[in-house]
Amino acid sequence: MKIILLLLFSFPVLASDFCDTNTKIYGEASSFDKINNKIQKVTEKYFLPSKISEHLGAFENIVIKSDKKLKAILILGKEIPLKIEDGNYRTVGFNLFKTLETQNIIGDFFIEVIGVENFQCTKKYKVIVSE
Amino acid sequence: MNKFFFLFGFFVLSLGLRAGEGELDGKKGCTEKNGYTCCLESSKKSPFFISDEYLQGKKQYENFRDIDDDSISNKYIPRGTIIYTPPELYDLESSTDYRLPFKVLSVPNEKLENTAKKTRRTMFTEMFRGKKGKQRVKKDDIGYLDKRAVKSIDGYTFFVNEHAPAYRTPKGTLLNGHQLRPAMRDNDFMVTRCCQDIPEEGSGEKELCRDFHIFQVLNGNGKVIDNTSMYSLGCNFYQDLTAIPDTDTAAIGKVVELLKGNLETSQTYREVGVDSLEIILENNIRKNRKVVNKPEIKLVKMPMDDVTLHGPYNTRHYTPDDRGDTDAYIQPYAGCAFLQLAKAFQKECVGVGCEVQFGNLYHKRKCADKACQQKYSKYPDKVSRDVDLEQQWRKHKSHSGGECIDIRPFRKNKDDIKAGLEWTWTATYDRERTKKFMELAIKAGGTGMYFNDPKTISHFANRDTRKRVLPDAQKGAYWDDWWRIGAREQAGHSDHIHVCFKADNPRVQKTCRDGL
Repeated sequence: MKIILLLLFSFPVLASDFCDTNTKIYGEASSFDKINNKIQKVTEKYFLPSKISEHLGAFENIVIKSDKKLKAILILGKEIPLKIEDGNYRTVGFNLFKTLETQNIIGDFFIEVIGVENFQCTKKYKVIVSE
Repeated sequence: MNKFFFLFGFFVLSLGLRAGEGELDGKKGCTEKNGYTCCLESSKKSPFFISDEYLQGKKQYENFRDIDDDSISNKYIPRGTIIYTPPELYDLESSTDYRLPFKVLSVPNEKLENTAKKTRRTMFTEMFRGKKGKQRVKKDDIGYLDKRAVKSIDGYTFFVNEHAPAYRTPKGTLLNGHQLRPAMRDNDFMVTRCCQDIPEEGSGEKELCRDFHIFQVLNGNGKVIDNTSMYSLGCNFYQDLTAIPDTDTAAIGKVVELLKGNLETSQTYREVGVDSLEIILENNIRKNRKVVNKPEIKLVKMPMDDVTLHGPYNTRHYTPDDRGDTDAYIQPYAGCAFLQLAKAFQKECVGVGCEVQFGNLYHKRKCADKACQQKYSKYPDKVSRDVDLEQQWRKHKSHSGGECIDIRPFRKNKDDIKAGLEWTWTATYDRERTKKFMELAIKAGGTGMYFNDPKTISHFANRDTRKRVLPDAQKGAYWDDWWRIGAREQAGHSDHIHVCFKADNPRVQKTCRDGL
């Protein structure tokens, strides 16, 4: 049932263009590090690998670098608005890792980038869960 | 009467214990001085007790009832608390014959309760279910406890807190950081029994005796280095003790020693002592309401800083499951072998990229399909101990025993914990370091190893490599059989090395004991 829903959902997405090199999707991950004797939360963005696993990082917000004007991303049926921060587009208060975990996603899922002027592109990702 | 025994106790320091010293080979010896006769004897009585639970299921505590009204249960007593019944409580009676009065001598640390507050994982929440509104017992609290939830101290070793005030035996041996184990003979406690004839009114005399239990002092390697009586150390001494089941003393003792050794090199993790460990005791197994298993530790949390997740010997935990890091628990021997491995690797790999980043350690077994659920629903005990029926994203079948560890491959130039890497990422992946770590892991007793780099797979498939890494490797189903060791490919293992340290593997035990 889950697979059928996923296929139904992803079919129109697959029909659109895949994201080219001008639209890059990153994931933010954080750690608590001791810097100058103070514990600080450090967040960095990493190019989101096409295969995602807990070993590769607990990615939270999504950051997109693009030459197009963007509005939102669509992930697992949910539209998440993007805001411009430091010249990049970024989700606010989103947690990719928790979303994947909560929905128990194993295998393929898609991130659809939605622009303001009829632009949209899709990137396919795969959640790897090992025994 | 108490004053008498107190003075008597100090006298025993110089007289009674000596009757016991040197006599532990079984010979009975007596010493007489100033009207006291002290002899080496046996006793069935435990000098104090360890609190457990009675029919509380998976709970890690028992109810501690009000001393004035035992129908009120307003406190809880964690399993492993050291208790005794002082003479002033002898005459107290509860409303039922199965409750006895006890005084608290020492309470285990509160780390497990704190973890349970930070997770929604059933295994942890059920450990302290029902304790809401109850206070945790403190040292010197008195109250009633179900006598069936109380264990004699045989079967336990007592670790003396490293940071406690200096405690010494009458011979001068420093006890801090060492272990105390009751000296036993034919399943009885060995005691120095000191007696004195006290004239009674009329013409008769009454013999007044007191037993002083003898404890062996053990060093980190489990070697007996002295004997002592706890009585001579004062009442406050007990608060600096942690009771560890004998089954796990060797592994826990080594872990404590390793933590101490870590201070020489680590700037990121500085905790030491048995009191820094978070311990989960194994659930009791009952037959006709009687406990049939020995006291045992189920899992111990890998030592790490709660916030930065740095551990000893340049280890660090990545992507914890929740704020309580509930995926970082491991069996004592596996944890000990892993720390020895990290210690050895630290000598081989120096600089950036050498951090040993570990992920999942313990997860209950995934039982997703109906057939599995039906199978285990017939065995509720089995389900409660090993299998979680609900399917979750990060539950791994191969991590249900608490003996397996996932470790990220090593890096050329970065110790960033936030993001991992695959063996295909040539800019960051350091094959030589990863290979070195895998070699050491195999030497340490690692089995069931998976990692998908074809070059490490061919490296460990090579006969010469195998001979060099494990010269005494055998064919067949032995621990050092390469089929069991693995170092092979397995789906989903391009971004982490999976390795297990089984407690019954002699090589794991040796690594824990002697290092690499």
